[in-house]
Amino acid sequence: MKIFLTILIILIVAIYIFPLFWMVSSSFKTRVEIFSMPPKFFNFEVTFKNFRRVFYKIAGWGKFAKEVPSEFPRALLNSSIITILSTLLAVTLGTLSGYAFSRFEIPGKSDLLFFILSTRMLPAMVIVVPVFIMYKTLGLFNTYLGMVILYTVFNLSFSVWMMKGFMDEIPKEYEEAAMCDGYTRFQAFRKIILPQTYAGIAATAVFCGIMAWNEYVFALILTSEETKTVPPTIAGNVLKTTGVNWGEVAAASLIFLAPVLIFTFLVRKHLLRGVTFGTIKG
Amino acid sequence: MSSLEFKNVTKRFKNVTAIDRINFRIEHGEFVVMLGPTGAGKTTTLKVAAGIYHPEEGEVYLDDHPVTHVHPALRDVAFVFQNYILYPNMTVEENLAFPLKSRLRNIDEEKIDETVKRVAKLLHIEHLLHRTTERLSGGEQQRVALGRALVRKPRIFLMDEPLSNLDAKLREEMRTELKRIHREIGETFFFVTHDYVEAFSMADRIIILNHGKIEQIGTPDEIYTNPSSLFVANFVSSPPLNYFTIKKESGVFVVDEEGCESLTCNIKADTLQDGKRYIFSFRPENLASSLKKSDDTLFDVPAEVYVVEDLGTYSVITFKVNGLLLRQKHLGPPSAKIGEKLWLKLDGNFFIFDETGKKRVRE
Ligand SMILES: Nc1ncnc2c1ncn2[C@@H]1O[C@H](COP(=O)(O)OP(=O)(O)OP(=O)(O)O)[C@@H](O)[C@H]1O
Ligand SMILES: [Mg+2]
Repeated sequence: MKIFLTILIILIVAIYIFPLFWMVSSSFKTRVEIFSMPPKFFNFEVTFKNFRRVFYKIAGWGKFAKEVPSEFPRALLNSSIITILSTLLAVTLGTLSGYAFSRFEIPGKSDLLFFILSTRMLPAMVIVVPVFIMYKTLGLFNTYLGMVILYTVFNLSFSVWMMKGFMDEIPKEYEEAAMCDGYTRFQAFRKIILPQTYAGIAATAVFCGIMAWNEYVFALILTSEETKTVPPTIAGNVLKTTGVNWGEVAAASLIFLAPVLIFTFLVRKHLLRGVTFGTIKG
Repeated sequence: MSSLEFKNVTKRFKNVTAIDRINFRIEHGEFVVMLGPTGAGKTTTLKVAAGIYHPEEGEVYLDDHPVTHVHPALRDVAFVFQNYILYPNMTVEENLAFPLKSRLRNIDEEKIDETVKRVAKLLHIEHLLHRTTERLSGGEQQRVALGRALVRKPRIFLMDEPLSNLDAKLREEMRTELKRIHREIGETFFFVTHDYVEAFSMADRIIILNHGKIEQIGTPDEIYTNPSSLFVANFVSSPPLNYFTIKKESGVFVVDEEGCESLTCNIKADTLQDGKRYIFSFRPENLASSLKKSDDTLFDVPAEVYVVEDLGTYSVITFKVNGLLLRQKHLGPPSAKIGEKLWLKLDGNFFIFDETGKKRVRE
């Protein structure tokens, strides 16, 4: 039984890890080796050319060809700015309104909560054109502000619902006790309730962050040069006159993926507690 | 100067009326215990007193000032919660210091430190000061919760069953300790419990609450000897009160219970009306038995010993008279054997209530 389980787990892990492994190995392969048959798993010649191509592209033809800086670093910066700001906003607003929804009697509370949830029900493809037209009119097209607002709103419903769930788990007697001890409700929230939701906040932030970081459709339509994020940038490089250079795509994707992996790894303890909040305590 | 008064206070939750037009007054320095079964509205009463809940009707007065809508922080009351509610992100020491650090009070660090140490010593938790609250035992948590109230000198201490999770020995120790603290600092205590022994051992006065209504207010002695309803008499009795319905028929009392046809009952109560039903009750400790019939025996048939329980310092004997089961409690080992036939008589008080048990009827 135990052996069977172990084999099963190894199998599942292999299935999940393989694409990642293939991406990593491809990023270090030459164009020829990526397509070689039988596929080369380990015995290939390591090259860093793909990574160089991510940051420096070739401009010009033949003997006029020279390396110029690519748009990738700028895209990475754009992605970071938009992701960090929108995640901060979504989590802050989600925490505050999650607390309010959990504690106060708000007229039409369940309708409001459902409305908030419903903002996520339409697929991106359906609303991207109306949003594009609105953004053009409002001057939000191709701005950080526009993208931050968009991703904040997108993550807000998730964030509110998650944080309301975490707040519901905390007995209201904590604020009551703190208020009797001589504090205002806001002080009680800040000193007693908030520290108890750090795990939940971490979990919510990771999910919001990943969503904003990976988002493609809106980024493709609503940004251009100045604010273009990484996903449309990588996708834009796939189709070139010279054909798809999978090595470069793999290298760019790897660089793109790294921050998410590192961040998730750093908060994994909180994450596990946050996700299992209320089921496995402590 | 800290009195607490409720005038016609009603608190509802959606369709539940947790407390219903409650009136009482606690004088400065008094130790008042609110006693009632689970769901009676005890916690709700305390939370209204603290300002955590705002009542739908009525007024709350602290020191004769209306405070019904005053924020808890400004009422200057200390609250010990039923489920401890220790702040999990703080050590025991920080928990104890938290009320003192409020900006409302403005106490300097040194004084805070000194107070925390003194209270920790009083409650025997000095060795826990630097621990986090998560791994403390129930008893330790409860003492920290008490400590968080005792570090202050509030206008009134509100305590919601603060001793319920302690083991028997520690509970008795803490009862004595709390009484001592009360005597020493002379503050007003409003203490809630569902344990009548606890109430009797600590209270100057007891308020008995049932289904959100006050059944009786009085000293422990008044409550014990003069219960105003069947509920009160039964609630402060262990083992449970003996009671059954009787009916007066042409001057004779007949037991009106299933399986007791034509069982007459020898009671001296001339003021009761003919043809009406009453509830007759007496405490297990007021039931006596003898081998011989005398003219003051309760029934005109002997009772059979049905169950015998030896509880160490005292015994409980259950008698069966037709369909009635009646308990006797006496000190020492059991004085009868199962199957024995004995004559029952009353040795002390009995109480007669109207048919519903809500009102005492004077004999
Ligand atoms: N926040 C609330 N929302 C809805 N109903 C409540 C709330 N608090 C109390 N109640 C209801 O009010 C009634 C009284 O509750 P309360 O907690 O005051 O009883 P209690 O005497 O303290 O009981 P216990 O001995 O079990 O603590 C109960 O029926 C309870 O279900
Ligand atoms: Mg209670």
